[in-house]
Amino acid sequence: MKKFLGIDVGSVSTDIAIIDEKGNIIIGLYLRTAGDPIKAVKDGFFKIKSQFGSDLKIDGVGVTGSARFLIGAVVGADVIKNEITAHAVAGLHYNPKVQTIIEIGGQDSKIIIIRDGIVVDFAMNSVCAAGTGSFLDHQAQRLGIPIEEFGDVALRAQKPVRIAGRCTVFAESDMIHKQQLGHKREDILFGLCEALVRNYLSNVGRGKEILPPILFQGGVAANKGIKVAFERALGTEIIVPPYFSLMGAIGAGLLAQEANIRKSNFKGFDIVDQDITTRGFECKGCSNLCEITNIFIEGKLVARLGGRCGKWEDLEYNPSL
Amino acid sequence: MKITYPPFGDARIAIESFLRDFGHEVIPPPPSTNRTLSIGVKYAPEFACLPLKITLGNYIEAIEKGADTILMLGGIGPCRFGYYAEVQRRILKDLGYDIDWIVLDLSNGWINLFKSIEKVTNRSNIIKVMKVLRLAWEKVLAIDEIEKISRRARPFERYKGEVDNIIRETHKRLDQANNILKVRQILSEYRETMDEIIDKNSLKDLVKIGIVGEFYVVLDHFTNFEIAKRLGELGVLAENAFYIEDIVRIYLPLFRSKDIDERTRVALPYIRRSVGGEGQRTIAHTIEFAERGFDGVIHLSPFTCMPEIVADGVLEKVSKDYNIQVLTLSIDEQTGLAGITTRIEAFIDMLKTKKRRRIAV
Ligand code: SF4
Ligand code: SF4
Repeated sequence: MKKFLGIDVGSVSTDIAIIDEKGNIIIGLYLRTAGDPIKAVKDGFFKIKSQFGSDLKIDGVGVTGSARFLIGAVVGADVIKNEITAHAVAGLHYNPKVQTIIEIGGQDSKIIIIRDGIVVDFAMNSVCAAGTGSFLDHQAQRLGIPIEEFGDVALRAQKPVRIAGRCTVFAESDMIHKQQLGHKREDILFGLCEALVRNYLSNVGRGKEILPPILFQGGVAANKGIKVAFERALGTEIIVPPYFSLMGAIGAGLLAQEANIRKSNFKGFDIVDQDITTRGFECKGCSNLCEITNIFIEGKLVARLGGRCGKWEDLEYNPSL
Repeated sequence: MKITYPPFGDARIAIESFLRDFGHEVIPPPPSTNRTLSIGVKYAPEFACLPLKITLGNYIEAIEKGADTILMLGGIGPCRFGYYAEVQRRILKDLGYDIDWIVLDLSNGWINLFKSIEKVTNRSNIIKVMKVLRLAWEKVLAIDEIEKISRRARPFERYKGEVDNIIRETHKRLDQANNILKVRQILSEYRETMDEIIDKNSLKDLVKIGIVGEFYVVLDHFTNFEIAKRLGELGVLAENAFYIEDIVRIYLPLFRSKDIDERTRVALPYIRRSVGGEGQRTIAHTIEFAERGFDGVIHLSPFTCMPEIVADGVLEKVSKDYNIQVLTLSIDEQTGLAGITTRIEAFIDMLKTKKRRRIAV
């Protein structure tokens, strides 16, 4: 059975999945990026290595997420794709009839509209935090509730409180106000879920025809309160796939499989034991002043990223600066 | 007098050419960088539109290089563009820069306009004026042609940056060209070089994307994250709704052509009256691309730009009515390259899949 590795490196989390050629998950890992995507990937590889040994053969590697170019170069990716395509591919694999994908992660949120198995429209929001996981994290912390329990507590709400505000700052101040008025914690929590859903639908979802089947993907899908709030707002069932938080990674793996690679570029799981460093500099070759990142493995230059022109892609190119 | 000007895209070559030919010492603003943007953002009012901020940064960087006079257009309403010169003048004054402005204000009466023109032309006689303008105009046409051809060549580049290298060389020569024949010769040599790169048989199979929106953002490579280049490198044929020539024809009454209003007419069912900037034209251009069978349209809109916000409001309907996919990219100083790249890539993935399916059926 062939095996494919998918990696989704976002600013908050790094997800890794190994799938077989039917798309079944062999292993799925969820790690914190914590500002160092290379370390996150290494941690993940370490776990894989200790579970399967280092000769686990991989037949193709796909990388997605905001640090996809960096990690793609480090691990030797065969396919490097944007998150929207990756999520769509994974959603379609899980449910070929899907018409809408709602994806809410730690730093951004997306909506993908699918008809007859192809993406026909999408939107993405990365500016406003009010529609993302970090907003919930923050509020949970403020209310002293572990984020894992957020959803369950919220579902106990009897009289959800309406939290006003289209942006984090307003929502937060309104929440504090409601807290002072003596509203129950669960009512406030469900109110927050509804506020997030409202924000999502009026921002990311604006003008989109949201038809079922609807998949809810991304880390925030763990929160049952949000799922229910979506169901109430849309008046239809929301499906949360079992590997909701790994869908980006799964999609990347599936894309690697679809690409039909004869021989993978994968550098192997042994890179965990290698010294990987990056060194950046500003190219003064022209007014673009590109930030070039040199990637070294064991002191050897293996890739360069960031130049708008092609000149740094040739690794031999090394003017004595 | 050391004169500078608001640069946008490659228009600088033509602007410099005619200022020089009128005998001015020109201090071109250094090419825009993130520093330019941060300077502009720092000193401009927060809600000012992006082009105002960037050009303000351009002026300050040119002043640092010794410029003491700024040439600018003014009075073109009804969007904020008409106030740019005034707003920027006050900001520079408050910052303590002692700068002369030559504002070609089109709303301030002929006498004032004439006085400004006299300053620009350095009191040259009419024959000289005509000659200089003619050459500058020829350069505008050449710059546009270079850009248009490059869009067809980039998807077939043999190595990354090939087309840009050729353009850079061609621009340098164009800048030096001192007569019309020379300009035409440079252009035809450029055309030949590009012809070798373009794979004519495959052109029709490429995904085609039209670019519409506010003129500065559409034409200024720095501001729009070099969108044309990115699309080309992704194997897409990207055409603009307009180039520099069109903008001159739209905004300078002397060159104004009737076709412009004619071309805007299809937008009337959606936006009845002019809302300034490119608002109405954005709609008209989107419809045009749809009717020409393009696969998609990318709409570039500076954040807080009123005309484009109006356009954005009806684009959804236009997109449905004419069955064309539209991706709106709102651009401001906080726009990150990563977000833009992801959206563009996903948009193209989507259009490519659709196209493949259409061909298969
Ligand atoms: S990498 Fe190329 S485009 Fe970027 S600054 Fe250097 S020369 Fe210019
Ligand atoms: S069209 Fe928009 S961005 Fe351009 S000047 Fe007017 S308001 Fe500003």
